[in-house]
Amino acid sequence: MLAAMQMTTDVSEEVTILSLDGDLNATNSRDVESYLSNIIDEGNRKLLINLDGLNYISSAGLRVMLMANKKLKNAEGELKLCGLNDTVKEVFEIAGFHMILNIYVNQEEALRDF
Amino acid sequence: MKIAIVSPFPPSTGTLNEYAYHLVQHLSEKPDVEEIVLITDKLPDQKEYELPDFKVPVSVKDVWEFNKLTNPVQILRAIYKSQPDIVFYNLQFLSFGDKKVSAALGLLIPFLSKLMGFPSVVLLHNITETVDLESAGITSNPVLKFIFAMTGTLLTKVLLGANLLTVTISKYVKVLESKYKAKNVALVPHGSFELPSIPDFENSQGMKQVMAFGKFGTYKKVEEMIEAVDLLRKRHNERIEIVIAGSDSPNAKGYLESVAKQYQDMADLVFTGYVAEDDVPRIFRESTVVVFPYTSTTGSSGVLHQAGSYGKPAVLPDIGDLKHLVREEGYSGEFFLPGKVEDLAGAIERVLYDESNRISLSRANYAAAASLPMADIADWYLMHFKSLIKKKKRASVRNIPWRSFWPTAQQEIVPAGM
Repeated sequence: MLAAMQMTTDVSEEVTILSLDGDLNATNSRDVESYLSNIIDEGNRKLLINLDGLNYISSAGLRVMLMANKKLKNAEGELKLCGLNDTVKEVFEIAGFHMILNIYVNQEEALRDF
Repeated sequence: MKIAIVSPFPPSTGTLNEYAYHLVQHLSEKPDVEEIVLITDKLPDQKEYELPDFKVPVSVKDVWEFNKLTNPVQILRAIYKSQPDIVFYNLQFLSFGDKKVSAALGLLIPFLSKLMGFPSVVLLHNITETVDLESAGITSNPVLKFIFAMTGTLLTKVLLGANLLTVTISKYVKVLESKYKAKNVALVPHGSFELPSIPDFENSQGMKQVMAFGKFGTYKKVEEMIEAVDLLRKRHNERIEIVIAGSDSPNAKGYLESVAKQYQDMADLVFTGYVAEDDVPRIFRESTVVVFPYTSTTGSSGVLHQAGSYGKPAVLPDIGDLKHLVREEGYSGEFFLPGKVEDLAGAIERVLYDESNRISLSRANYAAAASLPMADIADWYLMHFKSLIKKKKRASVRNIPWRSFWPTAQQEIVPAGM
């Protein structure tokens, strides 16, 4: 549990699912990044971040997604995102991330595509 | 990847020179980057650029001059000779000149380099739609305002002719998408140049120092700040040092000299002149508070990011883009209304004479700066560069000659993974 942010992990077959709840901003972005890094360093190569419970993401939060994507690509892994609400989706679109990251409407759809 | 960067670069005093310096430094440390060509302006007195050691070869082509009409030819020739994989422009509207024709011709270059087949990315630090021309001291005449707005619209359309135009504030993306129906615009945050180790927030010994940093004279004016600090000196019967760090804006030569003359009898008022890169950390560390004496804003603030990096509290104008940026990136500060000396004095006072507030603002700004370091912003750009290079390769394979000549304001950013 971090400031205004809760993280839970689950595993479905080979895919690690990280669910984020709350706000992802400058205050907690470093902690979330470090949590994500640990997941990747542990050898997980298929990562799904479920943003269903994310209310807000700042530029600092976008940077975390970018870093996770880079780290997984370097390790020949794969990152997918799902469950963006309208506010979060707009932020992704403003940064052009919707064209670069793999984003799905919901968890089932994302899992099917791994 | 070979990257050409078109921008002023230190020791040139052209605006945005420091941003270019730090971006080059961080790009040079990325494994994907093999070479950087710096296409920059000529230094006065035919001086030559002496670059620090970068991790990849960085060459300088100093081929252009402020207000020179031949800049497009010189810059495009340098790009052609360099044959980069990508061209990156670090710009604001007056980067190439403050005369209408030279400025406009310069802004055509990204579109032309794209036509030549080089993927071209523009970082535009401000947009005309959010600049208050009257507050910025440009004009209050309604007719001239209309002409400026029309010219700004036209030049923005020209810049949107690049493959990708990036801005540092999300609000700008929304404005450009809604007004110009552009689909080749993306947010890339400004980022913090350096992130020194965690400062000692508690330590505030010695004479209090109020500092303003930048290029002054257009919309950054220091008179009200000097008057405000003088008010506080009298109110608290204490010496407070005022430091004006930086030089004149290229568009307001002689401004700081006139201010120095006006306040020649005032004690503890220091004008540092141009601050070399090596002196920047000392200037920020010695300050107690960084004041932004702006009458208007023209984009994100490199100085705010620097204040954050050194864990300094900020006193900010309660206007436009800065307020938006503070909210968006998690910075913190005391706000004042421009033009109100008493209000500015109050804001400075709340930092100088409320220790817990000073420490809390300092910590918040350091956390905000730490959350978006320039090293990661360089990765952000590389992500876009790779996407554009991949797109160019696909277009070449298809061998449709007219494709790369078609204006891309309506084109979309192509997914890197596709």
